[in-house]
Order: sequence, then structure tokens, then C-alpha cells
Amino acid sequence: MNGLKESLGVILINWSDLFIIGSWFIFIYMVLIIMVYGGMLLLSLYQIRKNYQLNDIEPYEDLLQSEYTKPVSILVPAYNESAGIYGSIRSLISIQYPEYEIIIINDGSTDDTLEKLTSKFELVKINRVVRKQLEMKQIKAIYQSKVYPNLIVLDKENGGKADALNAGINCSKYPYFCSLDGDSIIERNAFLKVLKPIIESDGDVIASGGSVRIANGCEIQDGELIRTGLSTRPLVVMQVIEYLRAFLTGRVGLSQNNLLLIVSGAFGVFSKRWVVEAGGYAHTVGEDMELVVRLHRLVKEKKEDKKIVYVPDPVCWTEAPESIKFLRRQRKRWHRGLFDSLWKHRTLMFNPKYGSIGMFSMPYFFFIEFLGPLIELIGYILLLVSIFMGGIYLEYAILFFLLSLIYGSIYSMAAVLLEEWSMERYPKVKHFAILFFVSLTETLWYRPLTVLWRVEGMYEMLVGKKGWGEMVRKGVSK
Amino acid sequence: MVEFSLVLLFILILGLCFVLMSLFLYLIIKKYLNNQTRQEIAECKEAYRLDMFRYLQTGEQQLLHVKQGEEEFKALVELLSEYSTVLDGANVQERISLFAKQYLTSYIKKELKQRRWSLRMNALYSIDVFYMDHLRETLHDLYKKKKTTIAEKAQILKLFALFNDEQLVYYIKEVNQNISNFSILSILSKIEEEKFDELVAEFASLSARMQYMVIETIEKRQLIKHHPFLQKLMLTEDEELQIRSLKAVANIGVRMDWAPIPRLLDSESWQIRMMATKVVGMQRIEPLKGKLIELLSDREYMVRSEAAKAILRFKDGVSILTSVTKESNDLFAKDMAIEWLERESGGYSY
Repeated sequence: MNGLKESLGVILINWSDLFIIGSWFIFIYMVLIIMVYGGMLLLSLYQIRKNYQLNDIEPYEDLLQSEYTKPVSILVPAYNESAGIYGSIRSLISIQYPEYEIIIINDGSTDDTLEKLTSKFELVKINRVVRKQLEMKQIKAIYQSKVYPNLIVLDKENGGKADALNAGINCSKYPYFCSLDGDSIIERNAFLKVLKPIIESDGDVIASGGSVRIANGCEIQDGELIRTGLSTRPLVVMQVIEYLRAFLTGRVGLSQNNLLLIVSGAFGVFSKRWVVEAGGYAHTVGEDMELVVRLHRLVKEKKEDKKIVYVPDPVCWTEAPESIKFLRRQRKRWHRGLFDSLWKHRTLMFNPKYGSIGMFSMPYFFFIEFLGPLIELIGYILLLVSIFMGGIYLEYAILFFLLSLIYGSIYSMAAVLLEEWSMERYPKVKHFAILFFVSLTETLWYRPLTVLWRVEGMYEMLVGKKGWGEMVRKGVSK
Repeated sequence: MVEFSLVLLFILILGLCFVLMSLFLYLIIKKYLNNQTRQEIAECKEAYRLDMFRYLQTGEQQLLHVKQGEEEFKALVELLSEYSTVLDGANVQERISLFAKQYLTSYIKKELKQRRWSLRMNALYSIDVFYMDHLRETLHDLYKKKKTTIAEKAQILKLFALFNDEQLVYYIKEVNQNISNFSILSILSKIEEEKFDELVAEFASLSARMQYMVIETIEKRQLIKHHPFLQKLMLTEDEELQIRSLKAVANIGVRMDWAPIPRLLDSESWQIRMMATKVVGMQRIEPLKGKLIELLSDREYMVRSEAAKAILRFKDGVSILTSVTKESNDLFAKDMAIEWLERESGGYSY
């Protein structure tokens, strides 16, 4: 009997040790992350402020008039996008850019996407030779609009987003292409802004991405953003803050040092030659990130001095999920996508041959972006456990809570301030105040939720769940 | 240990919160004030709008009473920029310039000295839009300053091109390596022709990069008088210069003596062969048509493709390529002919 008590005691003591060691591991990890994020925030500060209040038209006049401005093919993959497609194509027709073509790829939609396009844009069938530089599913027909001759529609068999984009690349005739989600709204001078670094670098910049913002709550008419606004739903406001934080603090810092591994799928411009040489889009959940990693890899392997940059100006507005259900799906998918890309290119990890991409970007994305949620979740569990255990453990709980306050709320508040200091895209005083105070609450509810979903994504990856998870779109345009 | 770090962390967070809250208060007050200023500028613009319109149309300034104040200046800059894009005509542009010179000079000069880059750039853009060429001296000083950024320098050079400044050729010859080709090309596209001629005259002393830009500008601006110069360049030792001048000759399209072309079609370098092929096509040099058919079997894909494209520019191009598809023994030539015939027949409809 005594023996049993003793061994129980031993087990209890071990648990306690384990708890303390585990807690310290998590604390050190969190401090590390806080330092990395803090560093990136500081890097962004100077760069973003530089352009504050810069004239919105004049810097682009030259690009608009010059013969040397490179023409762009805009690719819009569409799968059952009937609700939003007309608005986003309308926003494309009125963009300011000297020469471009719009290629919509109807990826075997089962709804009336194609019919809608046909009637709205008066499509007619044409013969166009497609140079098959990248593998793709069969193209059924190619249409051209009678109203807008630079509008082309590819009707092809369903093959997923990557396949649709590859088909678009094959069909495109210009040296640069832009991939665009079917449901996003583009500002009129978006292309000028995003292509500026490409053109002015004389080809040294091979890809460039713009900031994506959330359209819910903004007033949009016929595919044009009339007034910036803010949704009244906390869940959407929180996503607005999250985007601000991701784009303004994270990517600017990474872009400065050519460490960028993500050019958002919602809005990015790429050099066709490089993408074709890299093999085009791969069929994976996070095809946009995967491509960028592959481009970096190709650049390093060819030992060329090419860059991938990010333009902090908000240029693209996209519809965010408004309910927990779809947000959860989206986050699970993103996390799987992140892992897919990292796993495919795992040989780059800590490989000095790939320079800063191998030594910094890959580890950053793996240890901080990918593993972060898991470790945070363990932290939350420890938090709950220590609250119940009371006594000395309560201090651990407070310690963890304070750290996650910095990690979540404080940094988000800083991002909101950074936006106001450098961009001022929300003109109303009220909106700025709402953004600031909602960001204060991040650690209390939003952060734990996203952590949970991302860990769920990891779990589903382990058990091997595939597929997309659809989002029902109501369309952002009136 | 835990207690100690707890206290430390607590203090840190309190500190951070305090900093953030103060920043927040500062920004929100600034935003409120900014919004008010914006409002004032908008009102100011409305107050000036009609009188300004009358002045720009008639040249009568009596009605315009300009007050001196930061908001007034901002409103005037915005209003004038708006009018300069909406209203056309030499008279209007001249009046805009006159007005800006009279009232906005000191404001723009002050803006050029701002600490923030974006504000200095905006001032440079205004000088462009309002054609404030009397600020040349200030711009020269600014250009020579070490602290002036590349983007500003490029913009100043553009202004010098616009104002046809004496020193421009000198500046371009010594231009900073970091200014992009795109900027240089857009400066050269604006430069007055006689200034450009000066640059061509000093071609040999230019850097390789600048030489390429000059050739490209001759091509883009279709400066026919420099055609003989290009023909000379076609035969230099420098391969890159040869390729670029051939490309320019092809795209300018002025008739030329084709005697040197056959030698270039046999060049070791495939880029030279390709560009020479392009010249034959663009100029439709009949006697070299046979040579083009030979080039359909060239070992380089790009040359074969260019040859097929060139053949199609001749009247009997389609029948030549058709006969190649039937009669040629060379598979490469056949494939290329088929591909281009297909493109010709349907293909790109716009």
C-alpha cells in the first residue's frame, strides 16, 4: 500500500516538473517570437512612413504614358463565382494601365458563371493558338468579348485553381501576368503601383505583390471602391486588423531583405518567363506561396540577383468570411497550404546554399508561422490547468497571459497605429478608434480561436483530409 | 524567478500600453485636426474654383484675391493640378504656370526642403505640372546635393529635359548607375532633339549602358536622321551594339543599303542572325528571300521562328511556307513553317 502511495507521489512530482519545464519552454519560445515580430515591426516603420501622403497620381504618370511600360495579362480563375464575378471583372475593365488583357478561366464551373459572362460581355467564340508551355487540362473553347476586345474567357475542364492559372499563362500573350481571385476588387491604379518596382528595376524584380484589405463594410459600386468603411461585425473588424498586421508589419520587413515567401494569391504580378521556367503553379492547397518559394529556389540555383518585392499600398479589396464556420474552414486551409509549401521544399531548410531564404525565411515560416499555433495551444491548456491548480501555478498563468497579450493584442494595436501613421486609409476618426479598441481584445477571444483552427488544420493534415472547403459568396459589389 | 519576471513583464506591458495609448491619443487628435484641415482646404478650393476658372479662361486676375496661408497654398496646388488635367490649350497652361510662379514659388521652395521624402517628391511633381522653369537654379543645387535620393534625381533630370536645360547632357553622361534604364529612357524621350543630337555626337565617350539607351531612343522616337549612324553601328566589333542597332534599324523601317546584311545573316552569334533576319523581313528585301528559307533550318529556335515570321511579311510568304511544309526535308523547318502558318490563319484575332 505504501509502495503504491510512493509511486503515486513520484508520478505527481514528475508531473509538476514537467509542467514547469514545459511552461518555460513555451515562455522562451514566446519571447523569441515577440522579439522577431518586434524586429519586423521596427523594420517596417521607416519604410512605410516614407511614402505617407505621396501624391497618388503623379508618380505613375510616366508609367501610364511611356512605351516602355510592360503590358500585363490579368488571369482570373473562376470556379462557381457567379455571384461576384461581374463586379470584379467590371473593376478590371476600368483600371488605369496602358496595355493589358483580361483572361478569365472558367474552371469547369457547375453554376451559371459562363452564361453570366457570355450575356454580360457579349462573348463570341474565337480561334486562338495556345502555346502549351505548362501542363493543363483540356481547353473546351476560347471566347472574346465583343464589347471589350481585350477580354478573353477560357472555358476548360475542371482541374483546380493551379491548373486554371497554368492554362491562363499558356494562353496569355504578355511578358507579365497577374493572378487575381474572382471575388476581389482592384483599385484603379493598382497595376501601376504594383508594376512600378518591376518596370523601374529593369527586370531585376521578378514578382511583386500588393496589400490586400477587407472589403466588407466598404461601399462598392460596379466594381469600384466608392468609400472605405468598416463592418459592424467584430469578427470582420478583427480580420481587418489581422490583415493590417500581416501586411504592414510582416511583409514590408521581409520584402526589404528579399526574404518574402508569400505574394498573396489575391493580388500578385509575376514575370511569365520565370514562372514558366520554374514550372508554373503546382496543384497544392497553397499554390501562391508554393510558387514564390519555387521562384526563390530557382533564382538561388541559377545564382542570379533577382528580387521578389511587396508594395505596402493597399490595392486589392477582398471579401472576408463573416461567419465562424467559413472563417474556420479558411484558416484550416491556409494552414495546410503553408505546410504543403514548406514540406515540398524542405531541402531548403537550413541549407546555406539557398542563402537567407534557407537560413531565415524557411525556419521563420516553419517554426513561427507553422508551429506557433501548436505551441500557443499548449500554452492555453497550461493556462487553464494552472488556474485550476492555483497556488504557485497561478503565477505561471499570469505570466503566460501577459506574454500572449504582447504577442496578440499589443502588436495588433501597434499595427493599427502604424496604419494610421503611414496610410490613413480609414478616414473617419470613429473607425480608427474602433480598430484600436477591438485590437485590444484580440488575445481574449480571436487569437485563441484562430490558434484552435490552425491546429485543427494540422490535425486534418495528419489524418490526410484533402479538398478545398467551399465558401459561399454573397458578392461584395452592389 | 517567476515572480521576478512577472513583475518585470507587468511593468513592460504597462509601459507598452502607456506608449501605445499615448500614440493613439496623439494620432486620434492629429486625425481629427487633419480632417478639419482637409475640410478647410476643400472649402478653400470651392471658394477659389470659379474665379480661378475665369482667370484661366480669360487671363484676368482681378477677381483672384490670394491669401497667404498653408491651407490656401495646398488648396491652390490641388486646384491648379485639377485644372491642368481637365483644361487643355497652350493659353491655359501658360496661365497656370504664370499663376504658380507668382504665388506658389516660396511655398514650393519650402516644400523642397521638407524632411520627408514624399513631400519633396510632391513638390517636384508640382514643378513639372505647373512648368515652373524659373526654379532651375534651386533644382541644380538640389541635384548636386549628396543627400538627394535617386528617385528625386531622376525626377529632376526629367524636369531638366522638360526645360531643355543646358547642363542636361553633362548630367546624363555622368549619371548615377542606380538610376534605372526606365527612368533614363523616359528622360531621353522628353529631351529636345538638338540636345539629343549632342548626346549622339559624343556617343563614343558614353558608358555602354548609356549607348544602349541612346540607340533605343533613336528607335522609339523614330529619329530618321540618325539612321546612317545606326548602319555604321551594325558593323562595329561590339556584338551587343550590333544586335541593338539591327533591332532599331528593323523597327525604324527606313530603306537602307542591304549590302552588309548577308554577312550578318551568317554571323556566329545567333542573336545577330535573328536581328538581321528581322531586318530582311521588315524591309522586305526581295533578293535575300532565299536566304530566309535557308534560315528556317538554323540550329537556333529563335532564328528559325524569326525567319518564318519574316517570310510571312512578303506577299508570297504564305505560299513559300506552304511549299516548305510539303517539300522540305528538314523537320525543324517544316515544324516552324506549320506553326507560323497556323498562327497566320486563325490565331490571334486582335
